[in-house]
Amino acid sequence: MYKLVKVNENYAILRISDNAGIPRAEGNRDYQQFLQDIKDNDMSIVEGADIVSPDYVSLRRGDDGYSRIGEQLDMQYKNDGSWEAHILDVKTRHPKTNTGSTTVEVIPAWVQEEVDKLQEI
Amino acid sequence: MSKVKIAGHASGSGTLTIQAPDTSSSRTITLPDATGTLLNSDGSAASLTAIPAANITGTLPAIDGSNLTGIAGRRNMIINGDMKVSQRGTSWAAITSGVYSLDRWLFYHNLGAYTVTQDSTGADGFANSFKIDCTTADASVVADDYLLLRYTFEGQDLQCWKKGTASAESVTLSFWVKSNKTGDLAIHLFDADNTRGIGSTPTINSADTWEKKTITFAGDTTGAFNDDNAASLWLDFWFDGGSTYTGGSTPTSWEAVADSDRGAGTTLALADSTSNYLNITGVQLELGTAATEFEHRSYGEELALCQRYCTIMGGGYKGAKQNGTTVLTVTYDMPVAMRAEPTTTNNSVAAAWMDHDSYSGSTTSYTTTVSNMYGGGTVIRVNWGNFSGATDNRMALITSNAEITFDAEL
Repeated sequence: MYKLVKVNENYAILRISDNAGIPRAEGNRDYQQFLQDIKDNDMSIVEGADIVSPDYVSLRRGDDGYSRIGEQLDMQYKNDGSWEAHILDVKTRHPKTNTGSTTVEVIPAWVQEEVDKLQEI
Repeated sequence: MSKVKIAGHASGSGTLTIQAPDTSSSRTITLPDATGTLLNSDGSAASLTAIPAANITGTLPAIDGSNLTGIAGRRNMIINGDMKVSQRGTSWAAITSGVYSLDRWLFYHNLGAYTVTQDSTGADGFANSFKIDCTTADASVVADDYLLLRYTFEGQDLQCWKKGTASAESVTLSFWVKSNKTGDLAIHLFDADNTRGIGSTPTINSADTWEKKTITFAGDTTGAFNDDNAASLWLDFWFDGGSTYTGGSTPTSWEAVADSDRGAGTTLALADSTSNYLNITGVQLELGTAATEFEHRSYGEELALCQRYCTIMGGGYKGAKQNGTTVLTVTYDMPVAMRAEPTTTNNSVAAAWMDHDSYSGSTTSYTTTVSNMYGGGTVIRVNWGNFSGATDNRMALITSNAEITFDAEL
């Protein structure tokens, strides 16, 4: 069994039996075996990549979350209500009810396309 | 006073002339005090051929390296032929077929079960050998059964064979082998680029005794090896097999491969008893028709050669980039350039990580996958996955003693 792994739109393959990470690279023998195994079986031996939607903690800490501490201190020094507004804005946009989720992506078309190109050796 | 006698030959008709050189000096030539025929000499010594090597003693003159054939540079094209490097472990009980054990050596079987070890004994002068120990016998060989040990070459390392040209070179294989069984092995060279092969069936003559075997394979004027980093040639040692692989005849000259010829001629039947074992070491493949002494290399040299195909990187502190919420990306500087983008496995030792100001979590169920390879294989980026609480585009520090195995074997 295999599971696809997707990071920044790049795919790799995880071989479940030994937790081996297989690159999507033609010169890799395990990648060739991955394609061959699908050809010998079918696509049911592959699970799509997990798509993780971050929870509110990650979102509040991320680029779309709280400003850097120096900027927040600056807002507090000005004491013009901007800091409270900023905090409220982040909390509103990323509420605690967002506990994150993980969905499994549909197996992308390139997998079958590369299986189809596989040559018998 | 001794005398000089010049005698003619009753059968000859020519005239022998003793010619003086164009000189004003007086010279004396002293004849050897021995019976025999004088060597020919034409001034350049071009006629001095076939002098027994044993008679060439004393201090040799400086000889241009281009005139020394068969002894210059690296001779052995096999990496880890003396089985001294075994990064992945030293013993594999009930080894799975098609899995690398000792570096560069791949064991295939579907007949019986075996323990493979890096044995700490070898032929004289060798500290190690590849040992195959039959632990579940199967004497009922069916057609598709196979039992073989394989070494695979990159095509770019075989260009010196001049295969596929009129001046194709012969190559000579030598190795040491020991088994409780006597009988024939089948050796097969399989040109995977052109599906051509040649074989031989050396005999193990005495049980439980190290024997050196030497085989010369003729050059092949058909089918050049691809000049790339992919698999071009398999060197297979067949120890048993069914008719699909042994039902033909040994190809003593290069031929279009017939599967039934690949293991033909093997009579060893290594699978037929749990008493059976076989050790092999000192495997050398070299250009030419002579098997020279095994080319011993230091452990460090041999390890570096193996690391092109397998490298194990230890743990410690690893600077990383947080990539989304579950991935930490680490860049590894490899000790040598890897052949291709490697498969990565980890030993599941706990890995903790922290961001710039706090401890952030630990897990043993992380995954490691190669993201990219740069610098011709010298730099590899690995995604450590299955963490939680990361924040995209921030720094992280992984603290772990986990080892990651990078595998780019053929």
